[in-house]
Amino acid sequence: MDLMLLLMLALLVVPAAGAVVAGISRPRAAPVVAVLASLAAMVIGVAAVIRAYPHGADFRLGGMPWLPGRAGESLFGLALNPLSSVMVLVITVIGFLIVLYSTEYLSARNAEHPHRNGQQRYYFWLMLFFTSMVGVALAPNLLQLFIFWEMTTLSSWALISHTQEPAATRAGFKALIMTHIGGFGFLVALLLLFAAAGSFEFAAIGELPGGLKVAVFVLLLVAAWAKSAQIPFHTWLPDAMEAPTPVSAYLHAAAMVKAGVYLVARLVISGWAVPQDIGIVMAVMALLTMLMGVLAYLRQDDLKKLLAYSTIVHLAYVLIGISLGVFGSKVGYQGAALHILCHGAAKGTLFLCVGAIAYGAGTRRISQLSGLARKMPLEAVTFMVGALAVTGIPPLSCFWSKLFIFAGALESPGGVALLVLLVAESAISFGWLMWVAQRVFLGRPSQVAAAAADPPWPMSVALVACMVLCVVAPYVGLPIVKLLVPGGGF
Amino acid sequence: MTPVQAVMHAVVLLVLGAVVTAVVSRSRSTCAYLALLFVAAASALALWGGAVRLLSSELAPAPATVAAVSGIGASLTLAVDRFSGFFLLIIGVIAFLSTLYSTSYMRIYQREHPARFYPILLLFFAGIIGVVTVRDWFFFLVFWEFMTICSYFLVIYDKENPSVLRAGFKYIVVTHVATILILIAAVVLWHTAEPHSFSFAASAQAMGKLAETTPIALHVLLALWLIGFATKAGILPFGDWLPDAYPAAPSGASAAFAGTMTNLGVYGLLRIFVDLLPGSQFSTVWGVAIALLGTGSIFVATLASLSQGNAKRLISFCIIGQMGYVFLAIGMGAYFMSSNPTLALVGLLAGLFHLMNGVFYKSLLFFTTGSLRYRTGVGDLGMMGGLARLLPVTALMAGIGALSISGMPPFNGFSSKWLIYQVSVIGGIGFPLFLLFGLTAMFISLVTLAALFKYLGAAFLGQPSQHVAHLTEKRNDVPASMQVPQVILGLCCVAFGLFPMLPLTAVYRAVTPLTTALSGTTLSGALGTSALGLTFTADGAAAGVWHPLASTVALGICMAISYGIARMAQAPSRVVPVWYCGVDLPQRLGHFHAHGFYEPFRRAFERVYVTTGTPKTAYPTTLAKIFDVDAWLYGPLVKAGSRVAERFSRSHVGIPQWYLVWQVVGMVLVLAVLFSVMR
Repeated sequence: MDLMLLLMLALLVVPAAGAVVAGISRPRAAPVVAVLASLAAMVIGVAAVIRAYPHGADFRLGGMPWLPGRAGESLFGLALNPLSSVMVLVITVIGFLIVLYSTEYLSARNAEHPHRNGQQRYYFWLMLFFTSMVGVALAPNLLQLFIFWEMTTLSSWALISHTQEPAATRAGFKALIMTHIGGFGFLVALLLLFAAAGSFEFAAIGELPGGLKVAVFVLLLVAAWAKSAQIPFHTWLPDAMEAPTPVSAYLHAAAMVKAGVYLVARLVISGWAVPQDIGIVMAVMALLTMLMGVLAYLRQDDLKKLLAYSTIVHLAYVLIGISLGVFGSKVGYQGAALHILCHGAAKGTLFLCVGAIAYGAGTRRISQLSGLARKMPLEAVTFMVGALAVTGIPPLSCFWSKLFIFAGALESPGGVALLVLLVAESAISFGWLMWVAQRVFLGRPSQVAAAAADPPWPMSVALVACMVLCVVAPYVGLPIVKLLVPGGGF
Repeated sequence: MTPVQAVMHAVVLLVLGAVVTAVVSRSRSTCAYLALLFVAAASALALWGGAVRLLSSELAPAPATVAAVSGIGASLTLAVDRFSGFFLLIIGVIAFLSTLYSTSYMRIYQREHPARFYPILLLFFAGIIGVVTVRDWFFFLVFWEFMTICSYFLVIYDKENPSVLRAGFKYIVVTHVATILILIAAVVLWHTAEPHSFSFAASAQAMGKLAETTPIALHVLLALWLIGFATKAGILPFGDWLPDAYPAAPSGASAAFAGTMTNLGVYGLLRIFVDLLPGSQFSTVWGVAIALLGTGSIFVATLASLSQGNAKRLISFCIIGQMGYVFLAIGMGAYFMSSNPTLALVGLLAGLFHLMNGVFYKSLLFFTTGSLRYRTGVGDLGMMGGLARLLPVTALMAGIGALSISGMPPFNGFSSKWLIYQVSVIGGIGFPLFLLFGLTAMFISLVTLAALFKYLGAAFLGQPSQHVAHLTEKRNDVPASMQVPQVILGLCCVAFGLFPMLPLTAVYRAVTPLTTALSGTTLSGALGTSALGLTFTADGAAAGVWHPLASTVALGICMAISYGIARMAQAPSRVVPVWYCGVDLPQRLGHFHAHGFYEPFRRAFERVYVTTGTPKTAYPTTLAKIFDVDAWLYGPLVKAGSRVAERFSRSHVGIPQWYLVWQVVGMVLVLAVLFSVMR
């Protein structure tokens, strides 16, 4: 068997096996199993991405007799192209760090929320989440993507309500319902596509007649909006902050919400057949989402909720970049793909940092925190790096992706106005995050801050690794993203 | 080793030094001395690189490309032309002196960790060196923002002081917005250039293209650049962060900011308006704008400095005023570039010479305020007094700095101001507005003197206040590592005042290669051939002469004569208690307050500099409500859904009769449908 195929199969099987073994093992063994499985998956993922560079890989593994597609197409397979390489990197690398971080976070030593049981359950769902995200990234067609898509919905439901407290259960249910309603749009789009074109391939949408094509795109877009918490489906994500922080970090940095924008990016790049009107709708909704997010920043007292709105805004950035691609700006599209990676690194850093604060100080309330830097110097540095990275300060990660999106905006009609809006958002987020950073880490230590301490090594290692990612992510991503547009873009 | 290699080594050394000092930061003194070692080496390299370039005859060295982001047309291209070399000299001197000063000064921050100072200071210098040597807007902005972020962390070093945090926040937000303005201008030029490129050469071409096709767009870009760079230079109203941020930073860092970072605003301005922008009506129009901004800052900031009670804040305002002089001179230089090259040359020379002089006395004055704080622990002028007895050398140096900054002959500030006045008077013949600007600048010079006398008088002279009385009993000046930087800078102030032709030659060599508009001019044609004095020549005729040595000798003779007369008359001097109009006051009440003489000025000029505080806008509640979809859509929908479900569930009551009724109703419905279909 081809080594590449073996790698890609292993990329799916190893975390899935890890999930099962962690689920049935003893409570103390579950974290070890999960760490090992995710470490192996990370190594395999990175190896697969390196091996697939620059030509990509596409394996078709057959279909089902009762669901005949077009000749030569198979229902199931594994594909690793530049766009999914970006996703695989985010999912596996950040995934491993988060599993490592969880081992300490989900312990009785957690000051905010001591965790005493449910380890197997947690790691089972987390690894399943991991698996299904890998599945989303590797899916060669819409059907397979849809199957893994719904698996991510399911596992996020279980993980958000992990603590089983009323608020958490409610938030998990809300996330399930809202993303599932979007998923229903996905299902309808899938049926329409198969009925009209007889195929589940991404490129098949381009062959549909005008009206039907628009309908399928809109339905898929709705699914993506729901998944990526864009207006009008943005309300589940801030509520989902009831989840344990590593889960939130994974949800935001790598998994779940990234699946939505990945779907849209996948659709656009498959033949560049998306009508311009859809691009306009995407861009307008993304701008509205940004406005909503920026307004919401100013009202948050919970650090995690602040970051949740920041994620929503950054997903809107990605969607704007993708819609620039629809308008013909390849640079903007590449910027969007790069932003998936760069934002993943920066947001992962910030969430893990907030988790460490909650772990050490016992609260995430901005109003109760002050002068943390004295007792938690590592978190102070990490948060600053994450904040500077996410707001696009050179040479950190999001600077590069934002720069490409800005450049793409200039290439598009009405670009200067768009540029000004994007830049204004950047400046406001920068100001606000710096204010929060000052408020939380500097000044005289508050009562909670005086009792805090830097976290144990698994969490510190994850924090430091995330900081490194904030620096190196764009340099890893650029060569991959370059492949997205052969001979075009930059 | 070429100058570019020297610069690269300097940057590498500084980054390495940052890592090393961070690693050894457990020991305060090791960290400090290692930082000094690295900065000394890097400074030597920068000085060497700058000096070699300024002395060599090679005008346009080939840029060295270190790395490239080929996809977006950005490349890390380094080149040290003479203009960069000039700034490298300044950076080399100030970086070394301010680090040397900090090694002792930072001891007053016992609660804060040194890892938050030295590594960041080193990175800050690396960023500054990068800014003046790159030839590509992309990496220019990378270094620029890097420098800004580093300086922010230096400003908030004293992190438990709320006013420091406020100042730091204002600083970072304002300068970040300024950087974004520059970024927008750079990205627009990148887009205009064909093929898309961030390099300086490409943007010069792009500006030429815009000037022909859409001049209005070029005007907008120039405005963005002007605002961006004026913000960094501290020019009002954009530079309002400066009087908050500089006093907040540790004095060594403040001196480094004042000596290097503030001046980079001028560096950027000249790069744009003199180097890259083709000389045309654009430089004429924007020359006036720059001069106007400069004069406004001279007027407002210097008057505001009169009413300040904190030593560093007072000096910060004076710094803005001095930057205003530089802007005025450069604006006039840019204005005359296409009409009168000689005036343009003298304007630019005056501006850069004033900038160079400013480096010395601004950093010097910040050092002296730091020394005061080091020995007394206070920064408020009202709590000092009589400290010349405690810190005699510092007092002398503060005196030299004060006289220099207020442009008293024969100190260096006078030489450059004299040139600025000359240009404004001669230029004012053709464009009377400049005459007005020049007159304003001249009169405000006196205000600077008044403000600095407030500093000198309140801090060093008079009776000590109760806070420092116990300190002034015996002489106890600051340690040598703090005195040496002060003395060196003080000597520079004197030397450059007495021999202005030497630094002017360096400035001339730095500025003329920037533009072809100045190629017909010579230094001797504009300022005479004498190595000892300046003869300003306009339109072929000598318009003014300044001979510092002769004037100083004359001044010395006058002083000797007056001293001789006093000695010969044998006027008796006696020591008596202060007379408080016959009332017996304790010394505490009799102590003359810093504000004493300045109260009328404060009241008169209260409206000149208005602090508005943070602008407050109402939160757009309506918009936020619209976005809260849960509240007006999903919530009600879910509620309505459960209501309907609940009503429906009432049909399920468990009484058999009702189920029979439902069966009958259902059958009737089915039959009705059947009949209607079959008919």
